[in-house]
Amino acid sequence: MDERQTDEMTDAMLDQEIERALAVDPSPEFLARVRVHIATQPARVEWWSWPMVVAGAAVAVAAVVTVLVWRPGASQSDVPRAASPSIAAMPLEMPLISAPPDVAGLRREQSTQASTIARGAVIAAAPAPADRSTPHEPEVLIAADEAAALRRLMRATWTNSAAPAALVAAGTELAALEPFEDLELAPIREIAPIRIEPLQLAAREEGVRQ
Amino acid sequence: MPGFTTEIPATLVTVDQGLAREFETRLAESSRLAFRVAYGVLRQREDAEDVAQEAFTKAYRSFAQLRDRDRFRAWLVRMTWRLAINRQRSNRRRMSREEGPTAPSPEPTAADTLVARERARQLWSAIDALPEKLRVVIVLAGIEGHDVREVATLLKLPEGTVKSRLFFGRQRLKESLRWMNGRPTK
Repeated sequence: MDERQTDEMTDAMLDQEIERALAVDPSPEFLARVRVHIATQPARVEWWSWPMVVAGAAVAVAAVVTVLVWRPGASQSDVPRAASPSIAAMPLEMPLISAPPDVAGLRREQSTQASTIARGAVIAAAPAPADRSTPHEPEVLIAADEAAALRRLMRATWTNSAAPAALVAAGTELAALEPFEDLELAPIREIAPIRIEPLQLAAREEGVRQ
Repeated sequence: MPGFTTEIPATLVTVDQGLAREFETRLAESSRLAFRVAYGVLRQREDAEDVAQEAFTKAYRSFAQLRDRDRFRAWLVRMTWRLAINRQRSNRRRMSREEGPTAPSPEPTAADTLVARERARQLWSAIDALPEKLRVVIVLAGIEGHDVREVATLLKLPEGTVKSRLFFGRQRLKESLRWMNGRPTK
């Protein structure tokens, strides 16, 4: 009982002691000092900050767009197509696979078809200056021996003398897999020229990222 | 600022004046509270006034969100406590660099005696030794006779939590004081 009373008294005394220790008032000039200090603070004008917020947002958006467009390692397909000329309007000046001079007439007839082939497969073994002027075209690299074989095949087709034996003689491995001896190729009498018309695309339809 | 120096709308002026008036009211009724919270940590009048002033300056900047009286007082107490703790830490670092650790002497009072000063020194060192969670409850309960509910409101804590922290804080204080007086607990 005495112990408990002593404890309770100690609690009360402790609280009193703490209150006494904290019963300190600020100096009389404290309030005035705070008022002066606050009065010297720069005024807060809320509507002033809106232009800053808008400007900051614009800068952030510009930075994001710049990073997206110019990010390192971006493929050429990511570059906006508006900067490159339209494919449909491009002049068909891709170099044709070299043909013998005696088949110039046939070449003119089939130039459209050959151009289509040449556009899809630019032969790396014989790059032309025109290739460098169209950097947005995808470059397809093929082996030199394959290019030579393809030239022979085209030449034989144009001259109607597609002899399978000649192709085999060229030493292609393909001949070993598929013997051509039994093939009989009918000579191509006439091939109707394929007409490729430029696409009628609106300017805005190009360059849309899929 | 060029481009924005046109006339300020009357509504804005009215709102600003109203805010200033409200802040003045809060400043007058809470200045002692903020000072004592800071003093409970620092026990240096000048330092406590500096910290309380800094807390009021921050409160002024955010006063649009602190217009409610209870909210303002709670925010002010927590901000003052945090600033005071920071100031105390930097003071201790500075003192340990300059002249080694020294116990801050309490303010002299009218009934200042050697025994009273020694007792106050013991009390403050016991309070300083408390964990911060117990310490802030003990100090706030000792200011202006705050009861459990008021302390709970100021700290945004449940009353039960404040009660238990008060209990454990007092127990530790008593043990520390007994030990300091040469009467260690059983």
